[in-house]
Amino acid sequence: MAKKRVRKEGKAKKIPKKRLKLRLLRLLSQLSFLSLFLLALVNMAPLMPWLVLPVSTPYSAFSSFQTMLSTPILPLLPTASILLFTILLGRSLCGWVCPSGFIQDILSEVKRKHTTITPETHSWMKNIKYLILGAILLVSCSLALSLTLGMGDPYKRALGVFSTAPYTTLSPEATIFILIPESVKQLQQWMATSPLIPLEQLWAIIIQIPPFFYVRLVIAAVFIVASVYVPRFWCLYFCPMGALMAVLNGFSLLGMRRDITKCTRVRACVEKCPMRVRILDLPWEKFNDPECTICLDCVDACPKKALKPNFP
Amino acid sequence: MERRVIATVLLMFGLTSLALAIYLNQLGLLDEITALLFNVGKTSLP
Repeated sequence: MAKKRVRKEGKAKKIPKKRLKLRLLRLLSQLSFLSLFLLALVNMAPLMPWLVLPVSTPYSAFSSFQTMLSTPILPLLPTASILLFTILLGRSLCGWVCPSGFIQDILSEVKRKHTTITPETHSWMKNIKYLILGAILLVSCSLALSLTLGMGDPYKRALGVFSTAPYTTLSPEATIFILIPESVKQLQQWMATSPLIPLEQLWAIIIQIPPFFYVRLVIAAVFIVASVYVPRFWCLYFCPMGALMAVLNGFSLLGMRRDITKCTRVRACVEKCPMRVRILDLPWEKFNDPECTICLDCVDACPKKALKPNFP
Repeated sequence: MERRVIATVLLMFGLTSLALAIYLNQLGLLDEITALLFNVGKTSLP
């Protein structure tokens, strides 16, 4: 009965229209940043140098951070970018800018009913991203230190493909945006120059492809399939950049506020939240949950308009 | 209150890093780093 009443009130206040407004705004933002990212990828950066800035910082700040440490250069610019962005705007980068977040949002629309992960499984699985972050920082910082001390070359050689940017080497984003398009381009060139070959030779060529290539494809496939079943699967459980921002998000000036005079605790916000934030259990004055990406889906979902962003 | 203090300290740290990055001309390195990153993303086929 209560649910029916809420639905009716919701319809009277035209929530679907407002939802469209906020979601459309976020979609536009995500699309603009994806376009910038793709323009930089197709080597437009030399023609438009300003492209490098939004792509390298803050989106690729974590990748730049690892690359600079492997050179070794003190990663001042990525550090500044991560700190300033997260302290001022929280994890809104994940919700409004990140291209892989956008891909996950689109993929999650494929299936109307999503797989439910139990709270117990969710609470231990979300720690995986912190472990990945710790491992990456350990490798990158120890490499930078050994290179600075002049004895890092054997270590760098031993790390092999992981020496420049350990996470980027395996990340599904790099596979989707760089590896797959590059491989297709290579394949097209090869098809244009080589005549048709028999099946046995094709098999020999497939075997010659480094196993690492297949590992990356499997990770990207897991990323795509899991995102269809669990919204923001990668962000929730595996993204180290998300983990880094989650740690800093607790101190962010931007947060959310729940008006307790309007809130009727119908849990519409909790059910809508893609990051599974337990909004109703958090302090109402202002909350900065580590997982909150300020996507504002909860604002759309609330029939009483009890939620709004709060700054500072 | 404590959170505000930590946020302010982190903001100051971020601003100092930015100022130092500009002073040390790290913005000029962005092209090079982006190129390096794109190379990390590639795996050559045989």
